[in-house]
Amino acid sequence: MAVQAPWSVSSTRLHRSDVGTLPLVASGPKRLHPAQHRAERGDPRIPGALAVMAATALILGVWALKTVNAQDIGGAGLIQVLPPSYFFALGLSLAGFVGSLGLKVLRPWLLVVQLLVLIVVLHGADPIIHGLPRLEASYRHLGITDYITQTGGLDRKLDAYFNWPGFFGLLAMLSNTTGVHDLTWVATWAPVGVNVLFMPALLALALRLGSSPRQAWAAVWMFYLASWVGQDYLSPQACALLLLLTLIACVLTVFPGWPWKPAGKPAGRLRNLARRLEPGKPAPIPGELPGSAFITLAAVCVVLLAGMTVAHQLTPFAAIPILALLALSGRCRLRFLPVLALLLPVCWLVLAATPFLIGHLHTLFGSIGNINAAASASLLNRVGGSPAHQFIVYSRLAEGALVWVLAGLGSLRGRRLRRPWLAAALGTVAPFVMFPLQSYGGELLLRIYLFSLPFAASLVVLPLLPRGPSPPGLRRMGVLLLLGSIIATGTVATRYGNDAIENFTPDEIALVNQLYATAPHGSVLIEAVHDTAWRYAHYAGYRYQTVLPAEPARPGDPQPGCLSITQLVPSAGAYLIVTASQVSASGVLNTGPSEGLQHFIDRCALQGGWSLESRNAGGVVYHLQGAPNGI
Amino acid sequence: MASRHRSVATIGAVVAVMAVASIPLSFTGPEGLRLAVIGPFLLAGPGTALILFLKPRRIRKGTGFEMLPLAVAIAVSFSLALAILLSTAMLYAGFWHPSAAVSGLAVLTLGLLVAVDRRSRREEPAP
Repeated sequence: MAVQAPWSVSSTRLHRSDVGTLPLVASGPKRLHPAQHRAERGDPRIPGALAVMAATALILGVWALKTVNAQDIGGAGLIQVLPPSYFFALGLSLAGFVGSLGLKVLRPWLLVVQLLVLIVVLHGADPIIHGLPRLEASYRHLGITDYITQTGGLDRKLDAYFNWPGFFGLLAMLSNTTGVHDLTWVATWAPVGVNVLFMPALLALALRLGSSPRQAWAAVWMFYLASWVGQDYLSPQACALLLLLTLIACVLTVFPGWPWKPAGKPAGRLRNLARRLEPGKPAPIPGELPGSAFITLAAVCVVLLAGMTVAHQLTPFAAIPILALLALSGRCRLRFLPVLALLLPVCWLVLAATPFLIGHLHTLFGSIGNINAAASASLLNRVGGSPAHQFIVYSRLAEGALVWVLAGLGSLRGRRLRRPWLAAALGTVAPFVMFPLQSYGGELLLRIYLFSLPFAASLVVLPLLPRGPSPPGLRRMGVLLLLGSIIATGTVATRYGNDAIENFTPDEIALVNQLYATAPHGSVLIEAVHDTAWRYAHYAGYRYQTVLPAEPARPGDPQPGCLSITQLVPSAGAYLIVTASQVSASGVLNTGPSEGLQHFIDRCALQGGWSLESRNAGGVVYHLQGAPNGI
Repeated sequence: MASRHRSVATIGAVVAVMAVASIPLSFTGPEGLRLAVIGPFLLAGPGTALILFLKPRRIRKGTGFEMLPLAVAIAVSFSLALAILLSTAMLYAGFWHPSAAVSGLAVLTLGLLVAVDRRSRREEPAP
């Protein structure tokens, strides 16, 4: 008795309880023998096993993070309190990805699952452990959104954010039209959400930078492994980076080629140089698009540039050198795009962000060309604080240097193997053009790393993956796993190295709420150290002041006295808030008085004129009486 | 080919329903429902309609996968950029009407979907 089974390719028998095992006779198109099928596509059980591995890594990783006691996190950050089971889960996730990458036939769904698990395990630690938004900036961003939601306007003289309001306008639009006024949960889970949103753009970009889909997947994986910068919170820069990645991916995919004809010597020389560096033509456009689609996609590129310009002050300036170098190397034939990338942010700065420009002329243009100042602000001034914190800072520098060195080696290897490398190398070095322009509050090197990482990641994995569709051998997979493990462990240390400073407790939030309930509208509110989870409401309703910055003290810095607080108090009085996170920040960064922040505050409180307003496990609030001749 | 048409039609229908629902929900409705509809719509609605509108005539053999991540990235980034620009324009113009802005985005999305529908009807062979 024969049964036709057109739905099955690999089965040769059907078991039925009523009649037993029946042989199957295939009909229709030619069927592969199971052994042949297995030889061509690999054992079908392996993807299932890898998916189970991913699920195990996810469950174990989340469970391990849930067991962490946030109170134990010290100066070295999260890594010192993570249980071994977390590292086992992380290792399982890494092995699962490398295993999925080594399958005979790539399964995109499986790779997506592996990357999602990695995102949760590696970048979701803060929301899982703390359950609150990370970084005081997240709370400020919520406050600006709240301001726009409440007033429907901007106060452009209040601070820089209001001069680049695009991202906050988007959040306010969401809040106003949905009726959801508390977006704290969005801010809490932003690191996971932002990284998930990055994935298609990163993949689209990596597919154009490398020579095979395997290299592209590995590059995306490497981006997540080496992304320790932590700018993936609810922030304009995260949103603008998404737009930038999509813009570059779109340009490389749809508009490859030279922006001008090979007339004239400079153009000819450039072409020859680019051909010498990377022989061959750029990959063809993968889809056949009608003429009108090119115009529409060029318009999309302009919209992305414009969106970036109104959302963030720095990202558009990173787009300029990237687009310019891509055009000069024959990888962007939209000649107007680099010009527009320059014009848009400059025009915005001059015409729309005028209040900021007038107030910050020296900050913006005062250190142009001063590489020493930029290096001091980005490197030397950041190295300080407690020994544990210094170790984290050096680890960050080492990880950044490692990624750039590996990217350099990948470029050399790519050139020797005649594989695509030039666009990735140009994207890696282009953001460095910004380095001598200004220090960006000492964060520029960090931002440069972030902008160059999507390109560098493609070069880092280049030597470890074959050119064509064939999978990497066991040796290469082993090296990839080892490299991934080293970088991932480094990222656990570096990304979460400031966890004691960057996260807050529910008690601290309750204390700030108490402060808002107590202090009359318009009062001066003072934080001892610039590390308070406040301004998420009443953004313009109070005058916020800071005694000590949250950065390592430099040798020769004067010791702050009680006068540094009292001079901020107006005649009408003020409120001082000292939180547990501020005390941690002061200890970790060695900022403030040598006796310790708590002793310093206690000593000042004895002077008179200070009255305790409220206290809980998260900190303390004082009311400070103003002097009759105060400010 | 037929299954591809079906998937395009399904995606288009989902986006159209979300766009239509966004218009009244941006003015009123239960908080949870408004978030469930308007949130994803702002995140990817107009961009998805644009991608359907731009549908490549033919994907080069063996490279079809290359277009999918870019299509998703454009769908999300274009939607976000559009909402960002619209909200910024309203803030600078002193005309803060987010519900009207969401309705405008919904109308734009529906317009693109109507164009997609008309084109696919034109391209369908006569029975």
